[in-house]
Amino acid sequence: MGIVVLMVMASVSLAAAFLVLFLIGIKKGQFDEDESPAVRMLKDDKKVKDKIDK
Amino acid sequence: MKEACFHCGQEINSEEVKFDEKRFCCLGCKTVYEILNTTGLESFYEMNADAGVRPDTKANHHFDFLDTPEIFEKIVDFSEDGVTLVSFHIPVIHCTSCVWLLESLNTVNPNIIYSHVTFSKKEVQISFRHEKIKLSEVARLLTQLGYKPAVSLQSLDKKESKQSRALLYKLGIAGFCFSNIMLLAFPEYSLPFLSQSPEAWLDANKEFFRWGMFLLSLPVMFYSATDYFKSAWQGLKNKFINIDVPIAIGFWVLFLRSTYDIIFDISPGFFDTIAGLAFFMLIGKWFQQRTYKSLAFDRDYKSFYPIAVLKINNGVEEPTMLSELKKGDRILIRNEEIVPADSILIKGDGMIDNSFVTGEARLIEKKTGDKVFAGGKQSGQAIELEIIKEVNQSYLTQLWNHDAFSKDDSMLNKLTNSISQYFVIIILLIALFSGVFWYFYDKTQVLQVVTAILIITCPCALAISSPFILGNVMRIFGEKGLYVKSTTSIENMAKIDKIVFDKTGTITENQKTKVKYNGTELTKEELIMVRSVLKNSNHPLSRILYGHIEVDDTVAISNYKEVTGKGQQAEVNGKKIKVGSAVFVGLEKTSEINQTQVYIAIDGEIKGKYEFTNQYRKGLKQVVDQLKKYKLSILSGDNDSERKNLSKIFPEGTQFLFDQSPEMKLEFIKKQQESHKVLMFGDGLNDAGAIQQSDVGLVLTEDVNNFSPSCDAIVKSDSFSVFPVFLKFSKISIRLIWTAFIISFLYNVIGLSFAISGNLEPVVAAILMPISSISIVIFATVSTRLASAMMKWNLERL
Repeated sequence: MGIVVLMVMASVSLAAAFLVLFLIGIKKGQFDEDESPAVRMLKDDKKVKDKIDK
Repeated sequence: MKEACFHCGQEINSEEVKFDEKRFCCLGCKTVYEILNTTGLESFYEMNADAGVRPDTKANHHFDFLDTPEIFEKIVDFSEDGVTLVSFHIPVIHCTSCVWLLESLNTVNPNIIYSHVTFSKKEVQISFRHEKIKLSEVARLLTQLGYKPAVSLQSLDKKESKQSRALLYKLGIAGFCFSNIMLLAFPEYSLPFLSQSPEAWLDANKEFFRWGMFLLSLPVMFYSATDYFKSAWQGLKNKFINIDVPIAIGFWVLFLRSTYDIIFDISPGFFDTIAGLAFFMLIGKWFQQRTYKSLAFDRDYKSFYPIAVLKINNGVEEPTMLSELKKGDRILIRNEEIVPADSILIKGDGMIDNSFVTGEARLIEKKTGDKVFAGGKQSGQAIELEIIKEVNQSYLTQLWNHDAFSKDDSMLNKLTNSISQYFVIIILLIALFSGVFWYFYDKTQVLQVVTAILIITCPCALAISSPFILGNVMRIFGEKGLYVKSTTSIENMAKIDKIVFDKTGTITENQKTKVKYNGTELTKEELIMVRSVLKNSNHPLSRILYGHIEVDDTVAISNYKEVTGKGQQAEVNGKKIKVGSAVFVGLEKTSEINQTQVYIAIDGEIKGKYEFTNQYRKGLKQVVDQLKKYKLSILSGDNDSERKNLSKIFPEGTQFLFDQSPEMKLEFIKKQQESHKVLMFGDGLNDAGAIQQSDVGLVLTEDVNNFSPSCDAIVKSDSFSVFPVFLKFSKISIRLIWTAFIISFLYNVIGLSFAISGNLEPVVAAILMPISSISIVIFATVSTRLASAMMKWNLERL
């Protein structure tokens, strides 16, 4: 008996952990806007690039 | 041929600026290039070729008023300890390079701490040290780079409702509960399919699984689904049965019956169905809620008017907020500034551009003592005005005091709600009759059957049909250049039987005017001379003519003189050339007042005149031909000089109304609404009342980011030719919704047959409900895309 209950508890709490992360994400505004982050990641940091070139 | 500007990629037309072995179309573009190069941001050009925005050299760059303490305080988000945070709306943001450049502002000016772009809203948030750099300087820097912030009266009453995150929270929690309840429900679902007796462990753990599901369903019932209960309650309070009433009934019956079942060990309950329904319906809501954030549909004159103007107080100019202007105040309006209130011209030559108000680009000349109406834009030198009516009492702005602007008809999903009224009654009747039947047949089953009926008929598939179909249609419309405010507008569009057009700017082209030459043919030499003279003038008509005359050379001129509002003269190759009004070249005032004309005289001899007439939009005839099913009207603020041309294009029976004031337009629509559903198609501020009053208000615009009055939908001008297709498509989408309704009814009928016969096992509901929802979603997506593919979208992209 014990093992089934344990497994269920484990899986539900794992899912709950992800839910909490998701809710924190919403709270921090990660889902407010889905366009500029996609654009922003393309932005090259010039200084870094220069270092690589050297 | 013509080369493209290195910075903005536009064709180099008039003057070419060479710098650093690169070609630019104007000084503005060159300046941006210089700034970027000196600050080490030249990789801007490596990302996207010619992605730059051409700075608007014409527009005014007066931002000094931003430094006035009271205005400063209202504009900025936060200011403390020498650091200020401000958000600017910048309509021209359009690509990755824009974001990159705007977020690199701190490299351009070290006093800017950081800048952050919100692409979907076209906003940039800038944090800067206000002791080192003034707010006006920040705004000026942006303008210099081509990103002019839109600072208007509207930005004063900001703090728009923070984007609702509640729906996402609810969606996330419902999703979590749904999946985990499924996990817990599964063991018992497998029972009917097992041949041997239930396994011992399952029987022993039954309680644990069931109460686990019960616990997980609590957040759904008391958080995720609460919007539906509230809305149902609101509806009932107003004696109106909306779609949320049967949904709320369904939810509560599900929850109570399931709890009852697990307490008395009857069945594992329907908890997974509860969570599943909530999850699917919230997805539908979320899908419908995502609209065009960057477009503003509710703009009134406030977003068009500036925040402040220069008030002249005892000879001293000081920036003053519009709300503080009073009758009798003297104000100074500079080039490209907007006249904020009805006033009288005191000093200077007024050249008023009313294009925002009437849609007409022609300049109107005003002399000292003339009345100048609010909303016009001065072009040329600065003028001094005396205010005769306060800002919100002016001819144009008082339109917003009309009660058409206070009505609020934001009834979402009209079609669904009207159906749900019958739906509820039918379900209650079915439940009642089967209850009565079972009462005489088997009393113990009555409660089971009645609750089962209420559960299985919960119209969730019905409720998501309309959001998904209309949400898809909205996206398709957006791809084709029609941006609707909400899905309700699409439903309304399908019901229209009368279309009212505004004339100027809507069915005529705003920018393009037809130029016709009348008189003695000019030789090529003469044309070159005229063009050389025109080159020196910034008058809009000169610019049009300059582009119209098809010779490439210009020659040197001397003794150039421009008389504002009259014309210009110069000597070319020893010949005296005059370009301007009839009086200017020495003619009597002509009788044809309705036309704009420019006369050409060489050495005192009048050669001829250029006539400027408005051009009707390309494809107008075809559009009108496709609108045979609708009653048409034309409303125009102009005189009836175009009646003849219009009646050639429009079919017999079209009403033509000329000399209409903004209020008259509004009243006309109101009167038509007694017998028709009216669509108003306009563009300017003077149509704002009519657009607001109409059942569907459409605004046509050359650039969707430009100012447009509040409306239900914005149409891009190059999509004008497919306007009839939009109407047709909206009708088709209503038919698709009906089809989706029928599909969801079929599922309900299947479910009912289980319920009435007393066989509704939780597992049946758990399968039937998600399947019906999913098939509706699939149907909505596939059918709308197919319908769109079958439509004739002959968009002529210019």
